Amino acid sequence: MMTRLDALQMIAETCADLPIVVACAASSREMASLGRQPNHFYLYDQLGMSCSIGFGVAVALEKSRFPKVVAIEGDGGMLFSLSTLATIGSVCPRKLLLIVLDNEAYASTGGQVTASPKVNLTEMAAAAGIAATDISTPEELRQWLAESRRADGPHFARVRISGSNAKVARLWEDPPLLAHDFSTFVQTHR
Amino acid sequence: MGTFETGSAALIEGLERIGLEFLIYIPTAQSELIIRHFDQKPDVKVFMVCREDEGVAALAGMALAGSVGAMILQDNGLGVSLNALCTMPKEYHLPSLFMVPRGDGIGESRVGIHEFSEQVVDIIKAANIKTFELDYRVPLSEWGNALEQFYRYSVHTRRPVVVFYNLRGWGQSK
Repeated sequence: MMTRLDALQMIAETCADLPIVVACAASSREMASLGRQPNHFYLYDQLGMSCSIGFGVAVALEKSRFPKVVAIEGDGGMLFSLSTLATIGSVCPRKLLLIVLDNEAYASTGGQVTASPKVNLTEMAAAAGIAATDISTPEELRQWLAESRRADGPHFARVRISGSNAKVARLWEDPPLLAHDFSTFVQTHR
Repeated sequence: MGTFETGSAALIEGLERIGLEFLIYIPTAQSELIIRHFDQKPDVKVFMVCREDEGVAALAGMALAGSVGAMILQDNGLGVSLNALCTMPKEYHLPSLFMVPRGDGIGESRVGIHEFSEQVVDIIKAANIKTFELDYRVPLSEWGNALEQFYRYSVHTRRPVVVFYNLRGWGQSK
């Protein structure tokens, strides 16, 4: 099974030209451990907000040169903000790729099990009108990233990952600096 | 003395002045005319979100992209969105304009929410989020200009501002 770091590395490499909003806590720390990038917007403690922030970026960049905007969420964060699926399905931002890294746990707070094993996030996204798929292998993720990049969205993928966090350094950058770098990237290339 | 219609028109004027591109909202009766106005404009994208905190985060995304947006939400909805307000646009220094009709005050007493709504301005101030208020104490002729200045203030200080307004404080029953 892929680790979170495996999945993030593939997303970072294949979407190096796209704005990427990264979920809070372990996801942002592990993404930053691969090398902090100006096209990445890292969240610290904003559980469930990356999908809405990515949605806002994708709506605002509808007429930009960016082919897609990526939002990475965890299963806990997605469950925390399920209503966002309805908003995304309703507004239909065609450039949004929403990726849920699903380890079925709140890994950053001790591994408490989320509702993910008992509810189907992919079917929920599909019921909201979003093209949704389950992904279990690196090959599937690579193929989905390539295909969804070329097709109008919104697209949703639940990527199954293992439960453990990588041992990486914490991120200590000042939040306004992270926002400034990402915003500069987006506005320079839009 | 203003009316519901002239007060709404003044707020519309203010939003026109800032070059509004996106209007996010949670439905509010006091904002009905504003939402309808911009919904009919092809150059402004208007959409509803399901929850206030969602809207706060979406507006932050728009600010990151350099777009001009605003969000309308009820004042009791600030309770739902306080964490999002404090940890996203405030913490990351993102200009954001929040338009909040009062659910409590002169001409607008709602017994189901006034225990919260009465205190909401103080709660937002205590969270160190900048607030402005437009009501019968401010000449209606200044509302449009004032709203533009509030938005500029948000941009220049790189932080969210919450504009409370009351369109029913002039004695109308609507």
